[in-house]
Amino acid sequence: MENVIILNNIWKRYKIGQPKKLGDALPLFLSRQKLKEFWALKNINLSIKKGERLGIIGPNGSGKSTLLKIISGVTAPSLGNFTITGKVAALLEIGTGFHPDFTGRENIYLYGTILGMELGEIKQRFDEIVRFSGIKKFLDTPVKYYSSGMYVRLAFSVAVHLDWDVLLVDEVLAVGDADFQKKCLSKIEQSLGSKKTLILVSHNFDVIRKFSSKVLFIKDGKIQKIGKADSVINYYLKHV
Amino acid sequence: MQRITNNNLWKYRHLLLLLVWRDVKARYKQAFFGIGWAILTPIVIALVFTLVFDVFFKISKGPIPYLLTFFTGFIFWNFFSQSISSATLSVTGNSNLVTKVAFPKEILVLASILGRIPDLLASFLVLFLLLVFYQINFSFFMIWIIPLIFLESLLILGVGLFFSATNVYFRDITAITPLVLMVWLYLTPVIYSLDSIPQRYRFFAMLNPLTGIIESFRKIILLKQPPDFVALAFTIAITFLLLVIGYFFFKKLEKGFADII
Repeated sequence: MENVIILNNIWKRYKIGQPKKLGDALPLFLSRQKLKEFWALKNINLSIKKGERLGIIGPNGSGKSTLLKIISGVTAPSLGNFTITGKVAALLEIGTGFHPDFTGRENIYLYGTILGMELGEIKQRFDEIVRFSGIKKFLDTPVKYYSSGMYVRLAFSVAVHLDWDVLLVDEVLAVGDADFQKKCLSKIEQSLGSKKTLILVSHNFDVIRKFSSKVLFIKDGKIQKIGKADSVINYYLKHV
Repeated sequence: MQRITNNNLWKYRHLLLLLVWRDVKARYKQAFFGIGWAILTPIVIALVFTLVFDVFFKISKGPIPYLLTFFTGFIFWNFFSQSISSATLSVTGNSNLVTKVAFPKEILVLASILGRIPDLLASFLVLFLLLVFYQINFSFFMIWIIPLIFLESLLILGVGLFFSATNVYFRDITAITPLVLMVWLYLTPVIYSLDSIPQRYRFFAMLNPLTGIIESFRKIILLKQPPDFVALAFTIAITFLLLVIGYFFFKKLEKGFADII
């Protein structure tokens, strides 16, 4: 099988205490002081084959989200290079770009285009999205009056109707009630098939076991172990 | 280095469209009077400026009513200043999108400018009513309105790319934009016309890219003459320069947006 994602020597550096005011930046510049650096990712090498499902686990601040942000193209690596083939959909946060004053109907269109859908596609899947969300009654109510559960339902319904080759999911599955969560998971499972690739970040080992053909354990910005779900999870539990 | 976000703006046209729609709708949804404010505001401003500068200061010389001289300049000024204000905040104001979604960020700047077009059209409606009221005949030179608006939009985009990108790194830009715009207003022939500027300062006035646009607009509407091509040549050259430098500047800084914002 061909590789859909290849990461070569990826490093990511963040600078700590970047000044936001000219009054702070000028003295810093004049004194030629260097900002403190923090390496969120250190020499990541990884290749993922078409149809693979990679689960990523690691403690908070280990670099999981940074890795997804780089693969999704939200941020660029400081060093190294990578290639990705196919259409990437990234769910780094659910409901990004929702406008509280807009109705559910309006937000379906807004969120759909933000996730990379075309208007025609959204129109075509509109009824399905609404049916899936189960909030038809409140479709013309501004979402600021929604409960947080309804909000998540609507956002997720749009997201699971995306068309993708590679799906990146960051912890967002841990929201909504249990029933709806199950519904979303099975919808994702349905659309997975053998040609689609999934990368999933989660603290929930049940979800990781269920979805991953391979698990990656990352800590302090370095890949600690990669392999079969059970062995990596056991390793993780022993070392964290 | 390979980046997945390809920079084909066409691919993001639907996102652009929806962002413009969101901006415009959000602006008018809450206000009781809605789009009516876009018509009322320029009328009130025009009347106040006419009272102060025409009645009190007696600024006008020629046969053209001051209200028209002012309003023809103000239409383009207002579009400029409102769009620059929106554009400056366009990236920082959408930090949730910048840090969570991969797309070319100049879409945000473009959307904030296009979102001001309805206001511009509203003030053109007011101008139309004024021209009817003053019984000014329409001429075929008016077709120049369209390229003038297009040119001004490009100019705004060039300046907006600078301001919005810098604002991510230094929020001081948000604070100084009103000052920059106020100085710029007084150095632009909006309240006065180009011939009130003494000859020896006129060259400097031409370096202001808005001069060519506003003076040309006055010529085609009020004098029924072709645009001021000399002034326009300055405008086109400066606009092109600002746009090219602004774009590369923005693309350079864009790489850090998601990390810094």
